[in-house]
Amino acid sequence: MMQSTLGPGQRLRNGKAVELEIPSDPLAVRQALARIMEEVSALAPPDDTLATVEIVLAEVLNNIVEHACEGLSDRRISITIAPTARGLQCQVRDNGRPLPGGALPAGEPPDPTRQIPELAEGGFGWLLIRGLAHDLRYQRIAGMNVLSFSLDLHIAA
Amino acid sequence: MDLQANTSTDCTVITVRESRIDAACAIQFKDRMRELCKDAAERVILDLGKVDFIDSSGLGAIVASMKMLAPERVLELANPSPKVTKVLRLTRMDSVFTIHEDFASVEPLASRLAG
Repeated sequence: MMQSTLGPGQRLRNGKAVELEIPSDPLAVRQALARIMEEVSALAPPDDTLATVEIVLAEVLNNIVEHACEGLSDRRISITIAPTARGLQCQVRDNGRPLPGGALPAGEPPDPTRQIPELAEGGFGWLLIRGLAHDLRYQRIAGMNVLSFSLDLHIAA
Repeated sequence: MDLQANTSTDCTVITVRESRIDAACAIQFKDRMRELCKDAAERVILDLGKVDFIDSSGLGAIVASMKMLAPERVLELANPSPKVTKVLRLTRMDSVFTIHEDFASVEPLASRLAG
């Protein structure tokens, strides 16, 4: 958890990383996102960039809850978000199952020309992550999934 | 999940009275849509005006609702926030759904709602 005397929204602004550890649970993800977005908002990036941050983090965390940790008990997710010159460097770690094949999924776009009954209801997550995050890297280290990526904040100098 | 349906002769407007359709409520959303769509008109418009954010699970639940209504009935989207629009565009679902930027663009409906 964030251990600091810095108030909400003050960590990234002070050049410090935000660190959170949450249980693998959709409501905990929702709360963590609210907390992270409060910090990122304090950097005053453009609205579209804020949307990018929230979408990418939501998809990364949801993938962990729904796939890596699904059906496993007592799983934790650690999130570290550090400010950089261009934006944010993020690392998300979990002790769930490794990604299938030990590699990042491709994130193929769904085929919108398909007829309604055949339209996919899922598979959007990696498409969004790949479309919005940079420097995406996945490693399996000592029984942990470690996903790192960077996000541009486009903050005017 | 707070969803409210309003049906006129040929159109049902379902208003989402929540700020998020995300992984934490996607199942509840789908269940509530199933209930409300039982008595829905041929044209169903999902009013997203109060929704700030959807994630891929929320989007999947909306796509599932559209499939549930097809082929007799259609699901259209109205009033997407900038974040929702971004998710629809990046997943190319903006080419699957009819999207009304605001209710004024839903022609016969706008006058009916105003009346």
